[in-house]
Amino acid sequence: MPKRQRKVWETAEAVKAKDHMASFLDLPQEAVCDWPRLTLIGDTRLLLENHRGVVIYESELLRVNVTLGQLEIRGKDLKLKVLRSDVIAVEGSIKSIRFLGSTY
Amino acid sequence: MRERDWQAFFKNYVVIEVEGNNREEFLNAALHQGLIFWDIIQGPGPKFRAKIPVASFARLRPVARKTRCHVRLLDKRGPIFWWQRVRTRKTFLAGAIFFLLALLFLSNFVWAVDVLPRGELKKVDPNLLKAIAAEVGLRAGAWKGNLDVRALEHEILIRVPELAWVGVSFQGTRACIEVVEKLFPSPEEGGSTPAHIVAAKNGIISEILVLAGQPRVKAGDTVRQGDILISGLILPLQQEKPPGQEGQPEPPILPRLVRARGIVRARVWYEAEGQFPREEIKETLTGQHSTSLILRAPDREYVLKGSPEPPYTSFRREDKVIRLPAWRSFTFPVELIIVTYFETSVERRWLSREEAINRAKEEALLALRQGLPDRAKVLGERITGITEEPGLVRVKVLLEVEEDIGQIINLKEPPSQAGN
Repeated sequence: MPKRQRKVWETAEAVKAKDHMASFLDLPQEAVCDWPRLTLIGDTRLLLENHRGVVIYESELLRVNVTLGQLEIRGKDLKLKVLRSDVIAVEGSIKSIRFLGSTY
Repeated sequence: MRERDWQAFFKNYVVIEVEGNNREEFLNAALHQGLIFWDIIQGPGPKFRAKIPVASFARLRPVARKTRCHVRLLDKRGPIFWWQRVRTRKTFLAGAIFFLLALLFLSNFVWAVDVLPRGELKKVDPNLLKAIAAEVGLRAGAWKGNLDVRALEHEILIRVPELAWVGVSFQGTRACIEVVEKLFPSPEEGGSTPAHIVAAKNGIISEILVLAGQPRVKAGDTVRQGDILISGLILPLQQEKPPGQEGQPEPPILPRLVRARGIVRARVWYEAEGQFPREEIKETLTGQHSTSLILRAPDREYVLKGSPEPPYTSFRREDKVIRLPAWRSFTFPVELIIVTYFETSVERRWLSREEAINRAKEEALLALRQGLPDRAKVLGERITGITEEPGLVRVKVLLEVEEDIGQIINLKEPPSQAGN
């Protein structure tokens, strides 16, 4: 994949400012900052909105690009129930969810 | 947002297998194209399986070529593919269509005719009714479309004069003929055969009203059971002969025979005995209750909830049985019973003598009153005897009632003899 060009409004300062504004105006941060939104149901279902592409997909490891960096999901028998350009729904037994190195 | 499993049932989709080392790249490129996937499962080795809509399968080819992945079509699922498969099996399809058509065709016939009498049939034979219905056109094998229900009802009603009402209805392929018989007045009330009115009971006449016949008793008379009250035999009056015509032969006047009619009310007495225990046991609910669930199979019972034994020393039990609806002659062998035990407290009370006597009297009168004929008037009641046993009171009650004691008895003797 080609390296994404960092825009002015994606610099660390800009994101911080947007974060502040979102809290101040009581707006949903995932919409203002383009952050991922994760909905975890038990340890079997994970709904991930606002993703930026799959990096690694194996049955025990799933790594997904998101605005803040990468999201690593480890588990067993991971299955992508739905895969769309904006949404990933993961099913399986999820052991851990971890953020890897912010790109900022 | 999510694809539901049941929605996939109606969708046309294909199952693909993607093999290659750049599978993630392949996925991202496809997503970039606006494609969607569901149920992606990592297979053994460097491949995965996924489901995609039929239309997007062709769009995968360039993506696969670019990312050097190999896409294989595993299965086609959905109504369209099912239909394609079925279409190739012409005979099977023809059989299925034939079956549906045959079912539709055969359900348009009457297969059975049943007579459902409302109340007891006394004059009409159900089999005769069936034969008549068959004559009119309502028979097993008749085409339902040709039957006019109103016309059939009318026709049957005309042909069977004993019927008051006929209703024809269809329950699927079964035709039901509901019938109501005419109620004819009983021969006792109507008819014209000569008859007496006799006393059905002993009593003292209080009132007599003669509509036809000759009265033989008057108010105040005491009659025994079987005495003639109103005679159907009208004897000629003893006419006083006018002077000067004595000795002349009199034209014999024969007695006339009529059917006696009238109302004879008399005072009659009934006697009855009642008893009541001095000790009264009174049960009152305490408000405590407990419920058990029992599953009953043919050979044993399983207690699902609650205790199998009643938890109270004195209680009232209410059972509610839930069974699955029976189909034809098959009844489901297992049933659920909800048992509710209501706790009661028992109270014993020693009745006073007067109270016990009163209760015994009520008991005796209750039984008597139920046996009284319609339009009987109770004139009075009296206690005639009281016997007391330990813990028990016996009371004899006399009930005085005014009622119609007339009973119609047909005259058996032939009219020719009556004249002699």
